[in-house]
Parts: sequence; C-alpha cells; structure tokens
Amino acid sequence: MNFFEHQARARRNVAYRMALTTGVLLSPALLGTIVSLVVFGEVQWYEPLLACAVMLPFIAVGYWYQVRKLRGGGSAIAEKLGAFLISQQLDDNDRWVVEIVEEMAIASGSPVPKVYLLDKRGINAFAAGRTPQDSVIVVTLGALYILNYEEIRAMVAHLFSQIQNNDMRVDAQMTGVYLGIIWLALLIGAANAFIFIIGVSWAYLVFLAMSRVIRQRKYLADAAAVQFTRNPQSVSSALKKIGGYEYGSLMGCDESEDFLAMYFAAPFKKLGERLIAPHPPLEKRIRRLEPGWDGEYPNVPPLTSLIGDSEQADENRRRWEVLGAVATAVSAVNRSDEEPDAVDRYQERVALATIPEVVSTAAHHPKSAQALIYRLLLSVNPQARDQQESQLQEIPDVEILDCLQKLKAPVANLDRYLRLPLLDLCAPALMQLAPAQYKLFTNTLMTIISVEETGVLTGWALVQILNGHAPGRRKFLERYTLIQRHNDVTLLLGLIAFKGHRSHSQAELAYYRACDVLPFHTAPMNVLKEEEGLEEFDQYITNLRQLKKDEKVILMEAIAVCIETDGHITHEEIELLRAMAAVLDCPVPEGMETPSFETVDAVRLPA
Amino acid sequence: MFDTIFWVIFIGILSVVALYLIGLYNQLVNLRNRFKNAFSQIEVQLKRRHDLIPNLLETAKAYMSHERDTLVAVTEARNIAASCLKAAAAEPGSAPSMAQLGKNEGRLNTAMDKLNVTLEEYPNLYASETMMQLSDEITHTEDRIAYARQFFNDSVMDYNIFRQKFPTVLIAATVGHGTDAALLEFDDSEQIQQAPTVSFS
Repeated sequence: MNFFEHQARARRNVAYRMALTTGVLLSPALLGTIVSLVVFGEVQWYEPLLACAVMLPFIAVGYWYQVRKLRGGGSAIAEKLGAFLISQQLDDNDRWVVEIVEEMAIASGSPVPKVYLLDKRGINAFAAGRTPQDSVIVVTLGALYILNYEEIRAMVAHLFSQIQNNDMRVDAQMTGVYLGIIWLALLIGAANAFIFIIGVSWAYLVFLAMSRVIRQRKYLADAAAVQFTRNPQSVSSALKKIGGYEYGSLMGCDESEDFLAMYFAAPFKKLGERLIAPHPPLEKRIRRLEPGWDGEYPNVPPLTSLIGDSEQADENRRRWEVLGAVATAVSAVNRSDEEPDAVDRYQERVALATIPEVVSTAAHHPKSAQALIYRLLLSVNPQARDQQESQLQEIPDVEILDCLQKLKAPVANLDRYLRLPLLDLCAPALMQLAPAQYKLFTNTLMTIISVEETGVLTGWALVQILNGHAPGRRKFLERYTLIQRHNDVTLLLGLIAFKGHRSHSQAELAYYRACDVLPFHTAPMNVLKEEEGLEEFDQYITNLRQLKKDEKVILMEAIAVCIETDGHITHEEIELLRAMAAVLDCPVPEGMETPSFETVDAVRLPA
Repeated sequence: MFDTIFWVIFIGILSVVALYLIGLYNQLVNLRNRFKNAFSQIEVQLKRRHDLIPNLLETAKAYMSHERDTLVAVTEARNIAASCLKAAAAEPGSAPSMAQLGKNEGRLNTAMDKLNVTLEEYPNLYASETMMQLSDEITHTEDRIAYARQFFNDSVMDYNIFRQKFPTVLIAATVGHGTDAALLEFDDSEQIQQAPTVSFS
C-alpha cells in the first residue's frame, strides 16, 4: 500500500468539499429566489441580493459564536473537559506518552504540543487548539491501558495531521457559517409553517453535507497517520481494539457537540450512529486501511481486570501486552491458504529426509538398535561429544561397541528430525530386551544425554516415548480437572515454551497462546526452580497423569498450540509432545503424528 | 496591424501564463525551504547525540578500563560525524554532503552497536544511575533522529516530485532548481549487511 497515494486520494476529495461548501452557501439565495418566485410570482433583480444581505449578519454572528469557543486556546478546552496536564510533570509512568507525542511532532514537522490526560474509560484522543502552535493533545486513561505503544502512536499521528490541516479552526468556521444560516432559516420559518419545514430539512441537509466533508478529512488523517508511523497495521489495530472494547470510544455522559470532529473516534453513542455523524463508521475506516480484513474484532479484556496493583492485575496486563499485539497482527497478515503452516512443514521435512540402508537394518536388531540410539543422541558441541564418546567406551557389551563403530559414519549426517521416527523404528527391537538390560539401556541413555544440562528434559522425553511402546500400561485413577492442577499445567507449558523458543518474549507469547486454550485464568509463566530436578518434575507429571480424560485432551491441544505458535516446530518440541502423549496415554493431536518409516523404499544412501 | 481586441486577448493570455509560472517558481522555493528546515531538525537531534556520547564514554571508562579500543573507536567515529554534520548543514540536500553524512553516521552507529555489546558484559554498569539515564537519553535521541530523518526524506521527496513533474520540469533548470535533492540514508550497520546464515542441525 502506498501511503502517499492514500493521502492523494483523500486530498482529491477536498475538492469535493469546496464544491459542496459553495453549493450549500449559495443555496439559501437560490431557495429564497424560488420561494419568492412561488409566492410573489416575479423576481426583481435586487431581491436575491437583498436576501444575501439579510443572510450576511446571521452568518457573521454564527461564525463569531463558534470561533469564540476557541478563544481560550487548546488548554482551556482541555481543562474544561476535566483533563490534567502531564507533560510538565514528567512522571515516570506517563513519560512514554509524552515521548510518543514528541516523536510524532518531529515526524509531522509540527511544534510539540502539551499533553493532557483525561480520566475516562473509553479509548479516545482529542486535539484542541486554534493554531498549530497553540494546540494540545488529550488522551484518555482507557486508551493508555488498552492500547500499546504503536497504537497510541498511530492515534497521536492522526491528531497531528488534523492539527496541521487546521481542522479545528476550519471546522469551527464552517459550523459557524452554517449555524448562522440555519438561524436565519428558522427565524423566517417561525412566520410560516411551510417555510419552517423547508428550513428544518434544509438544515438537516446542510449538516449532512458538512459531515461528509469532515469524514473525508478523517480518512485523510488516518492516511497521514500511516505516513507518520510508517506502520499501517498500528492504525487499523487501534481501531479494531476500539471495536472489540466494551466501552468503545465513548466518553461518558456530558455530550457536547462542540468539537466533535476533533476526536479520534466517535465519542458519543447516540450521535455516533446518526447519518450526519462526522466520524466515519469503524468498519469503513478499518477496511480502507486493510482491505483484506475479515471483520473480526479482537477480544479485549474488561478494563477492571487491568487496573490495580494486585498480582493478578499485573499478570493480566502482561498477558494483554503479549497477546494484544499479536491478536491484531495475526489478522492483519494476508493469510494465503497455499502457505504451509508449522505442522505441514514439519511433516514435509521428515518425509523428505532419507535413511541409509545400514541404519535401517541396524534398527531391527536389539544390540545394534541400542548402538544406533546412542549415536543419535550425541551432541553437536565438540567438548560434550568427546565426553559422551568416552562414556560410551565404558559400555561392557562388546557387540554394542562394535555396532557403535560401524554406525559412526552413516549417522553423522542424519537429519536431527529423523531422531523420532528412528526411535519408533527401533522400538520393536528394544522391546525384546530383558527388563534388566532395558533398565541398563535407559540408564546409559540418560547419562549420555545429561552431559549437557539442556539434555535432561530431552532424555526424559525419549525414555518416555520408548516406554510408551511397551505393552501393559499402568492405569491411573482419573480424578483431577485442569483447574485443580493448574500449577503443574502452567509449569509444563512454561517448560515446553522455553524449550522451543530462543527468546524470552517468543516463549512468553507461545505460553500465553497455549493458555488461551485452557479453561482457567492464567498465572505467570512458572519455571522449575534451581533446586528442583527430575524427581520433582516426575511428581508433577504423576499429578498430570491423574487428570480426567477430556482434560487431558485439552492439555494436549494446549501443548500443540504452544509448539506451533512461532511457525516452526523443532525436533525437541515434537519429542516433548510425543513424550507427553505417551505419559498421559493420550493420542497426539491431529497432524502432528510422526510419519513411520516401515517401508523399505524409504532407504537411500545420503549423497 | 492587428485588432486591439486581439492584442488585449494576447496580453491577457500572456499574463495568465506568467502568473502561473511565477506560482510554480514560488512553490519550488517553498518546498526547498521546507526540506532545509526539516534538515535543521535532524541537525538538532544529531548534535544532541554527539554531545551525549562523550558523557557516556566518561562514565563507561571508569568501569571498562580494558576496553580501550572500543572506546577510542567510538570517540573517533563521533568526531568525524560531528564535523561532517557541520559541513552538511551548509548545504542540506546536496548529494555529496548527504552521502558523506550518511556514511559517517552509519559508521558511528556501528561503533555504538559494538559499544553496546561490550557494555552488556559489565553488569555492574547497570547499577550506575547516571549510566542508565545517559543510556536512556541516547536511545530516545536515536528514536527522534529516526523520525526527523523520515520527515526530512518526505520533504525531499515532495520537492523532487514537484520538480520532476510536467510542466515544472521545463522551467526548473533555468530558475536554479536543476538537480534533485538527495535523501539522507544511514548506511546499515555491519551486522545487517551480512545476511545471517541459518542452519537447522
């Protein structure tokens, strides 16, 4: 989308405005002429001029009346509404708003205005002032809570564009002129009922025309906001959040029509829905910015849950911060159905990988299968690798050592994503081991993989997957619901989120999206404390095993969401998913199953 | 020779055309002054940043006595950038001075990035309040530089577009608006220039 083209288009409509203004101004004279033609039957040449001369004082009075309201300057208007100044105090909490205003002033080339805060629940902002030097910007408290950085920037940029175009003064002047004419019409109409009706309907038409003009200005201001912030999504997402918010952009009880056009969004419900309202409807504004919008508003949490100092409020704010930015960004992206999502990509990746014949035959014998698995678990890090190799040399069984040597080359180049399918392939052979040997195998496995700290969880996962293949699972009593075990659940999700994501913010995002699936109110991300090790983790898992069947399904879904949020499924994530499926005795969510490599034609030597 | 009415019309048309050309020239002057003014905005912010950097280095020096090289590199880059700024302020919008300024500010950005990376290895630096304040100030100034540069480039673009359009393009060269103004681009820091390699193993 070309910002400047957008603006050019909106500006062309200003010509339409001029035509409209002239037409409307001249219409009383025309009207008067027609009326006198009808009533008197003939028109003298001076009569239209006389009509204009009569109109002039009324226009002047109306003009003076409206513009007088601006006399106190922007600050007077803001203070009359009840706003308080924040730009002088530089209170740390609100400093960021002042800074956003400063940045937008620079971006639009205007002087920096004073910033006021209005204690209202609706999301709205307002620019007031006679000249650009004199203007102030007022933001509501609701906006500060609900909107994020970028969206407030967009709102402020929109207001700057209106300040720059001198919208306030021009609108006051226009309103004044129209008011004057309307008074005249009504005055004349007081004498004659017929003229009264004409006068009233004409007044309505006048306001209709004026509102169309102001709407074009609003579209222009939206386009200018995109130009200043260089971010089309921020403007549309601010509008979407207003749409999804319980209080919308409403300002509360005292409805004064004075400076209606200078609000970012419609401040009063009754007026907002009228045909002659100066604000274009929200959907139209969003669609102009984002033609591919699907009509969905994001779920904005109620304001009361975000205010306050309690831990829950803090947590809610954090959650909204993480999710709120995404909710709108995701819907903004042009989702084309040809693009594969994370799950499809994973399946594709595994399907394309090839297993050499040596490896495939090795997987079918118990001893060589063990060797294969040991080889697969070797680390990428050279130091850890050396340590693991020396540990492997200590295995008592000679045959296994032999296989280890033979498998060194083929396994070296195998794709990591094949780990899980190969594990599945080895499972039947491994199940043939005697219990003591199996125990020995799993212990060695854990020792090798625990050389690296991060490997403990992966090792656990692999052991669980293997155990999942064994027949005869122990039955657990199903007695808990997710809500009762929410500590364990949040811990698990936190661990999985951290495992698969590089940055803290990505992990948090995945965690919160996973929590969306759960039926309870979320808690902050829990992670295992330093002292806790595998035993405590086992305890949590045992608790989770005792969840009811339906709850388990929901939990698996949450894990799946957590994994696929960032569009990338790593092999460790899918191993954790399989492990949890094995532990909970629950099927893996649709699409995430590991493809099996039973067929021999999946065999080809790597190039 | 010809009728008076012909001359009246002819002179009338001539004066309309002349007025139009005057309007074009005035608009060119308008736009040029606008981007020159926009440049002074950038100048203010860049200068502020140049002034804050020595303070930052002084505070950091106390903790990072071993990191001579990084500190010296930043000081040098900053001095060069400051002198370049002075030169560019004399003729904003001319291609060579904008290119020079862009290159040197880009180098300063790279040096500052390296400094930031080094700073992260000294966690006790973050306990110093002066350090935190300075660091904040510089970050905010850099944000403002970004917006000021954006506005400057917008103004330059407006001027260039108007100058290149028909019929302004016919008269522009003769009245002293012969060349396009140059946009201000900061060279990308080295990290961005090297495409990151991604491996899946």
